[in-house]
Amino acid sequence: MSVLSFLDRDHTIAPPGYSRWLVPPAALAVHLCIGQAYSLSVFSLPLSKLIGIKEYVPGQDWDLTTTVWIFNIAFVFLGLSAALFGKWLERVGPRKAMFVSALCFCGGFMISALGVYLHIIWLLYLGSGVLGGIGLGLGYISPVSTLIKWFPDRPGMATGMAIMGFGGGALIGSPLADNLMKFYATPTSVGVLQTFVTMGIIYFILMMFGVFTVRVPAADWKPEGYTPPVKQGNAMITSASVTADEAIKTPQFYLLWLVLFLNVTAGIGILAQASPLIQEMFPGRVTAAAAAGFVGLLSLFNLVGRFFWSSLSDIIGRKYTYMVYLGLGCALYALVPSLGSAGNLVLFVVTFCVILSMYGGGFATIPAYLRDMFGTHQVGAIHGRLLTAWSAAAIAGPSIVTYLRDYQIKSLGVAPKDAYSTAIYIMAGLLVIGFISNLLVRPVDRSHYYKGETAPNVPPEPETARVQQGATV
Amino acid sequence: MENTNIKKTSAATIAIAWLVVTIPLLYGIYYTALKALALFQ
Repeated sequence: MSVLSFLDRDHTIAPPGYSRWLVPPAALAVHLCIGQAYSLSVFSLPLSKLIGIKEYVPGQDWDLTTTVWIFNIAFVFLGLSAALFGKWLERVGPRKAMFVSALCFCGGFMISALGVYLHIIWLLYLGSGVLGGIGLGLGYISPVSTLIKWFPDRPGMATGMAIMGFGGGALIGSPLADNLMKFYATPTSVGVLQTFVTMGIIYFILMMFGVFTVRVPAADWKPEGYTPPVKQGNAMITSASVTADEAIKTPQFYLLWLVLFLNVTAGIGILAQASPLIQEMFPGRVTAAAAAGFVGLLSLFNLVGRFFWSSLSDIIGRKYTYMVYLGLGCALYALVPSLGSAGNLVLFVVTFCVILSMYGGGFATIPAYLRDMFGTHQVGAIHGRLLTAWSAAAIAGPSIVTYLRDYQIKSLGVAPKDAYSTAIYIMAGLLVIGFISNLLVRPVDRSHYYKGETAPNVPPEPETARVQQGATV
Repeated sequence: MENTNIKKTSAATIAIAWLVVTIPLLYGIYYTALKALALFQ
């Protein structure tokens, strides 16, 4: 028997009496760690002063355009690994996937530390970029289908909690790295190397807590008093299952891909530029420190929105929830330039807080939407493939906002205060397309349903795979 | 017949598990909230 057999799916089946409320902390432990990726920029400046220590030395130190690629590579590999390893995850179970995620993510820190020691940027690209990105992708999708199976009565809330952890990871990663670098800094070192090693160890311990805590439910398990959706009469919640390979042949997959892509593009475009945006739209009124506060506030709403909106989706339904994200989001975006012109800072901030809460909500609600459409059989793998939308949006969103801002200022001579209006109206337009895409989502045609044997640890489906009749949304 | 030998997860175990993840999360929220306060000063 292999030493690592404790990682196998068969060894992670929960015994009778195991509380499902242990699974969300296991998922959160992983997401709180990998969410650190959002705060990678905290290392940008210190990495550009590894030789100069006090200041950047041209020709010797890495410049910011060199180090920013670590972030870009990580997010590309996040999407790729989530898409490629989703089916493997469904086969081996969440524990092994979380373990591999921890090895990649934390090993990435160690390789990056070596890269800092040797001052070889490619080792950072490999460590925090490639390996870290694979750890991110695997870790992100690992607990999703498990949570959905443990919480068939509240899938939105369950996955929302985990994905809220990813937002929380960004809040933790930044001050943790900052404090560690201050602690390790000496007159001859900026403390990045030691910080990478320390964070790698801390995150590995926390991720191992998740690895050893997570369990999958037994095949015949269901929550006490739970009535399966077959009796609830909602056409948008299937009782059948669709495999990941089959899901990508359905229009629903591409409509939801578009919905996620457009919602994330709009949100991430603004989030990436939030600090200069508020300073330039309110010149003389918002200082750099206050702008940093604005970014912090948006991060908090991004976090809270993940839990709030995904929990609400369990009550009002996934389609209605996305109608709110995209419809209300569009209206609020359209309002922003007017609020800027009117100088109404308070309403401006409130508007963006709501927008960013829905941006986070979009991430957190999509696994439950996929479960409603494609069933639980391979929802983790389908979610992984859908996350390529995130990678694409991470490039598209900030590019649209920065390109249009620069073009308006440099080519059209528009004042910086008004240079964001076009980009913001375009974001509102993208949300309209997203709204229409969401409206077009209908139940999956039964010709796509999985007709093979029931997957391990998945409760048996009703004899005739079918969607329920009744409500259309 | 219900199996009376089932060992249920204790409330303390669940509370500890949640503490393990809540403490770091609160650490992050605290620092972010401190930063966000600058917007209102």
